[in-house]
Amino acid sequence: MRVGILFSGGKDSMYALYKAAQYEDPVCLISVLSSNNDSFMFHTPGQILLRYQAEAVGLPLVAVATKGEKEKELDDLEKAIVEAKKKHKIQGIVTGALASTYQATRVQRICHKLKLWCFNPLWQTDQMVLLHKLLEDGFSVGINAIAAEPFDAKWLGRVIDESTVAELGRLAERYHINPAGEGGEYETFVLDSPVHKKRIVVSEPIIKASGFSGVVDYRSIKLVSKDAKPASKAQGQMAKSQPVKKPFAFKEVDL
Amino acid sequence: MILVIETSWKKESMHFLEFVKPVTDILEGVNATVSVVHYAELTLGQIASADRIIICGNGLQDQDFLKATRKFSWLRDCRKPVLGICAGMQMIAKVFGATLKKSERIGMTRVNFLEPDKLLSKMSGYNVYELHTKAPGVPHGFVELAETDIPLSFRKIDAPIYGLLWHPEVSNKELIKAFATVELG
Repeated sequence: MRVGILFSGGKDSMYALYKAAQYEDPVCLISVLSSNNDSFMFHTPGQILLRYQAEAVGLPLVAVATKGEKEKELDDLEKAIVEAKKKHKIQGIVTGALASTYQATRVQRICHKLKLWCFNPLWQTDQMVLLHKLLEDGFSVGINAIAAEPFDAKWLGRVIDESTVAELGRLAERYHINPAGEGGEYETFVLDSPVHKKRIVVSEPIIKASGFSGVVDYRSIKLVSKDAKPASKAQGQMAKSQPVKKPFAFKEVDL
Repeated sequence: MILVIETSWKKESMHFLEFVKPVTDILEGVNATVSVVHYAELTLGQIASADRIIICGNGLQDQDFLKATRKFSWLRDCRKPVLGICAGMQMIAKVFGATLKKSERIGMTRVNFLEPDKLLSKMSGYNVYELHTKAPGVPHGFVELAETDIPLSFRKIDAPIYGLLWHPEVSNKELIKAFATVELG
């Protein structure tokens, strides 16, 4: 079945792509991007990283701009899915939803209206289990934004490893936060994974943070061959990974 | 052993991760011995070996399962605890002669309890997660346990066969735990 992945640019939607590739045929990524004007640009650091991730996994990106007005967001999401259905003949949608019935309900309603299958392969997964699975399955995940205590500027640019996962678990208990950032406490991007055709290498970070809010921008973002030697141990993190049962076709993305 | 029956349109599907794994995760959390089978491969021997049986839900577009009533005819003589979740409840209703009507519900809702019950009394709160396009009537020989403007739960009067139209593995995990551990006979 041809499926489109709702793609936020974060680890959960990337892991959903990885799971989807084991069962069905992912043919595109679908994103709704906040924009200050009518014509959208990939203008925020997170959106720039999203674009690079789309190219890294070799899937076309269907992106729709939204002004971020709450009542319009749903319409914009539906518009994006309609475009993906038309352009890429998708029969289903895959999301990285973990536990939010609010989010799941929105997507289920749109899919039902459009007669699309709706898959949520991470649904009800324990957040600590998910973090461990990401590492076991060879995901290199960077933290590119923070939005809640106790995450301060020191967290920006950090690549998640076992010690980070352990620390997230401790902080979750102490501060009653979501260890996988399910509540928006922090945002991530994926430098490498079994579904990446190329690795993402970032350098020259520019940190913009105040208190428990901030983002990291990078002056240099490159896509490099998977065979190229990593610049650092963190960049080179590649644990053992599961084979992808149904490899999807490489497609060039126009940047 | 608790037999968990997958109702997806095919054996290897992402719906297993969404509708079966959350159930088995809860059961394993209370140290239950679990065996999972896809409904197309279900045998009477597996039913006989099980102490309790859960029939899982599936996705909105997934409608093949409800054609397989013959695979569930064992329900008519079953005296073991059975929990039908969403599509599972719809199957129980069909086997016992009730009809399914169109009823599209997606999202959280507040349920009204009608009858005291050993299993549903373990539920904390009133909010449940619905995801269905059909709702069954209450079959003859069953009692309605909970409703909104449609029946949301029933139980067979002379056997612990339960139907829940909502997804407890999402909104009321304590019900799955209770089904695994509470004496329901």
